[in-house]
Amino acid sequence: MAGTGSAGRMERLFWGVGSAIVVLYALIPVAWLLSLSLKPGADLGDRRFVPQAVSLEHYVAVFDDPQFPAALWNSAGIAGISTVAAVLLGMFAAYAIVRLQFPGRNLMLAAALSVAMFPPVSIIGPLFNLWRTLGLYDTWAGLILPYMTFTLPLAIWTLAAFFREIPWDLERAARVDGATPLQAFVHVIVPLAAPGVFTAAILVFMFAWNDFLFAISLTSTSDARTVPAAIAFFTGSSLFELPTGAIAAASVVVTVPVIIVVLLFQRRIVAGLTAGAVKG
Amino acid sequence: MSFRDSAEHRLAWLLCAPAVIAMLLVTAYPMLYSLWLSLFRYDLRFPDERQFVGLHNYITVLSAPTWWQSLFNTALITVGSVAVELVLGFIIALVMHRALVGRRTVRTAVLVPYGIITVVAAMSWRFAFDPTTGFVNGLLGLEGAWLADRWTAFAVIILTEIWKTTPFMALLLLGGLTLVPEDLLRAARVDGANAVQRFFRIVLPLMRPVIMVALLFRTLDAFRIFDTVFVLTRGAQGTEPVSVIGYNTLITRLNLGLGSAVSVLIFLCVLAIAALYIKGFGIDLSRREDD
Amino acid sequence: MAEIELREVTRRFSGTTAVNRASFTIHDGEFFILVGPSGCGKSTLLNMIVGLEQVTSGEIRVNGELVNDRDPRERNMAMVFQSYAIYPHMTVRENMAFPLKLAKLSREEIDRRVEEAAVILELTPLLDRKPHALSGGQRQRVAMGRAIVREPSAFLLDEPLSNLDAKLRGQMRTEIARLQRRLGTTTLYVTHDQTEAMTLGDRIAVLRGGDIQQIGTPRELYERPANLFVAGFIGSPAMNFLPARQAGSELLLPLGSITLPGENAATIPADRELVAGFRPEHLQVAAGQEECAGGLRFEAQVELLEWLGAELFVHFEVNLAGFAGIALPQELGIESGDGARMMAVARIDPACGVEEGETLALCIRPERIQLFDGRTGGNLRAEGA
Repeated sequence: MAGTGSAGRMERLFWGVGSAIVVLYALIPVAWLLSLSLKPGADLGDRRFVPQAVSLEHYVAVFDDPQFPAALWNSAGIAGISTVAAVLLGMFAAYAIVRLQFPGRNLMLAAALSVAMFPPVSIIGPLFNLWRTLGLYDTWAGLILPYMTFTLPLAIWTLAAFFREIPWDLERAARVDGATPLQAFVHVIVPLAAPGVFTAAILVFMFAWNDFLFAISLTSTSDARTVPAAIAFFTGSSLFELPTGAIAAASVVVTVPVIIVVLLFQRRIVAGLTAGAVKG
Repeated sequence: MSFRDSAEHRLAWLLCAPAVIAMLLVTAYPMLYSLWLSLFRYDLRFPDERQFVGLHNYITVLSAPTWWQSLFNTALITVGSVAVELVLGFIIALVMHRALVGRRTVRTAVLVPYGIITVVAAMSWRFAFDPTTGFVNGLLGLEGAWLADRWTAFAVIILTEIWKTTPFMALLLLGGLTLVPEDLLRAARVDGANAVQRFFRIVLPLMRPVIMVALLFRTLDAFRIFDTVFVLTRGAQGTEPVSVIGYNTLITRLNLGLGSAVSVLIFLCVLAIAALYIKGFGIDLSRREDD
Repeated sequence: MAEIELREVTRRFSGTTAVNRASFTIHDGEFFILVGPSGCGKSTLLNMIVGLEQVTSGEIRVNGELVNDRDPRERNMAMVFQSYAIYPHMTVRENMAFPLKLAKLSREEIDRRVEEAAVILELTPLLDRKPHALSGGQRQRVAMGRAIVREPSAFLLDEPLSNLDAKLRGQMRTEIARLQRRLGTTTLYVTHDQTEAMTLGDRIAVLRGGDIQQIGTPRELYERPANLFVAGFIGSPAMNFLPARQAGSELLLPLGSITLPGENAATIPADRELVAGFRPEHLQVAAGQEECAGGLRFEAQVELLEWLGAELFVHFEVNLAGFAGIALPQELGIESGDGARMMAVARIDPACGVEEGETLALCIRPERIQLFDGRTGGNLRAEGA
């Protein structure tokens, strides 16, 4: 692929520069937020990319304000539970789709597809009204239900793609070896499916964590307000100005775990996304 | 059909049932409810004045210039972002495909926009383009308020969208690239095709299915855009896309009747786009089966 | 120990018949082969016997008991898959111990059996490795080890050697034969390779398109094939086939005419299309007519020579003037020529110094000629065929 000698070096240089540009592209906004979050309040208006002086006052402010830690807790809990639910339900469905022959299999996939294409804005009205009547407005359950629904297609696709990679001869071998279907599942399939399930969980969690529309439509207080909603409606000391520094600090706090997860699991995530989308 | 086969069918339905129920319950039922609500004049601020008005809400919406403008806005954002994403995504995919050095760093960098909360990304770009505190004006030596004028606001919105979603497009295309057999490219090279010819005559046609599916989903995503616009302009300056209109009517103004009509119309638009892609461009979504 | 009996076993699904009324009995301790080209139903038959696939109709009995509706785990049979199917997340030892753990055997018994099997299969130094660190041949042995530790009533092997390279395949073939002799367990072996079938089997069943063509010992299949398909499938290189016609007491071939022993001449109708077959190894060099008394001597123009040291294969063309071309079963992969010419092969002593382009005089004896019905493919000369 790459030639030897100077031609090869030129090509490597080219792709190296390309890579550097891509990295820069991806990190500029993050760097900017970091920069803003570290600028002391007075310097926020200086338009400089790199801060002249560094201050942690915004981080302190953000954690002092009870809104933000509450939002973090809500996001973590709601996204977490939604993930567990979606992955569990998705696992059963994915297993059936990949392993079993049954009429309605295409219907199943069509249903998942339809939900993936559905416009959430079309149901915030009814959900808003329904939740108020059922007492689910501004509760964790009120968000967990739509999150679970809208992450199911992603869960099913990713899990189906991973399940397809498992050599199913192993299950047959286990049955011939004397295992009941349950034993075959537990001793052979589960250990092989675990990495796929883990990846699916990461993708689903990211999706649920990111939601904004449902969060602002179906919640109003810090009882259930999640991070995206909190950040968008952050009120500072002044009613007319956005507390830029505080928002930047909150954003950084929320983005750092994402970067860590992505750093640790980038290979898995890419495999999951491409498998789910291309082969799934 | 033997006993074992029908037992297999039962097991399969049992396994799929929870997922299907969850998916339909939260989409089909509320959608029907939306349809129902759209036939009423129903404002939550005056709940007792609710009355049946048939298709009147639809007439109101369809004769309102704001609706058509928002449709135009949505289309503009959709076409603008998807077109650029496709090209940029391809470039990034090619870089990731060939890059030998720092593959891991590139992959991580590419996933950051994907993993970042959309609201956070939008905030970041909002601050960047802020006339007095943002680095963009500082760098370019400009004074203008980008988000105050309609067309520059669109530029910022589209830029933010592109920034956020290109990596995902790049990943999808990368997956598609790996499906093109190296042997074909080598044979083409021996036959005398240069890199550009190889790309347009071999790589692109072979990737067509992947590209079409990626385009379908990106178009739908762009059409449903909400977070970015809400954070950047709240829909002001004539940048309101359809979903923001929906939100404003339903949640901000609590007009369930009119808002539901908007909801149904948006649903129909999405249906139309999907139908266009699937029937019109002949996307084979059933290729997901390979047993 | 087990005797496996199949009665009219049929497998049908969505319109196709994969196996059609298979009936045969595998005797206790026998090494029984199912052989045939891809898609002939041999693997389906195996899967039905082990219980991984449903039987549409017919009965499968093990030692007289009906097992149609029994789960694989209740049939006490061990299977070696074509892909080996060894558990990638377990070590070799754990792989072999798995079925025994499921059967709830004692720790000591499990260890004893695993060690014993490891010794037999020369896996002892590899016991603590994981499959990804093993070669293809080693993995294959692990799959076999997992089967023999169970001391089952029957071994079922589904093309276990097809993923190995040629040399390893030969080695493993002998290993498997020796193993089976030693253990004496009833063995059912599926393969598409007729060499494996001939060398390993006590008896062979040849399948084609779901139908059993013939069941017999290797010798029976070789010397008295029931039909054209079996004749062309068994033996390498394949039997030569030429169109033929009966005229009175003489058999007319494109190479010449030959008198067949009298008792058959009367049973063959004169206007029937016939296919004559003779094996490359039964052609002899005959410099003079006297060396081919009673047989058919003809001149062959040598097109291609294949010298293999111990053998010499001579490829020559046969002109079919006056004879209609014949249609041979597709699965045999034999070229039926363009209707005017056919290729044939002779196997002769490499000491013969013939060169390409030269003419060679060959002789075929009448008792070595098989005669088949041109339409049905049935063998017209085999007694009671």
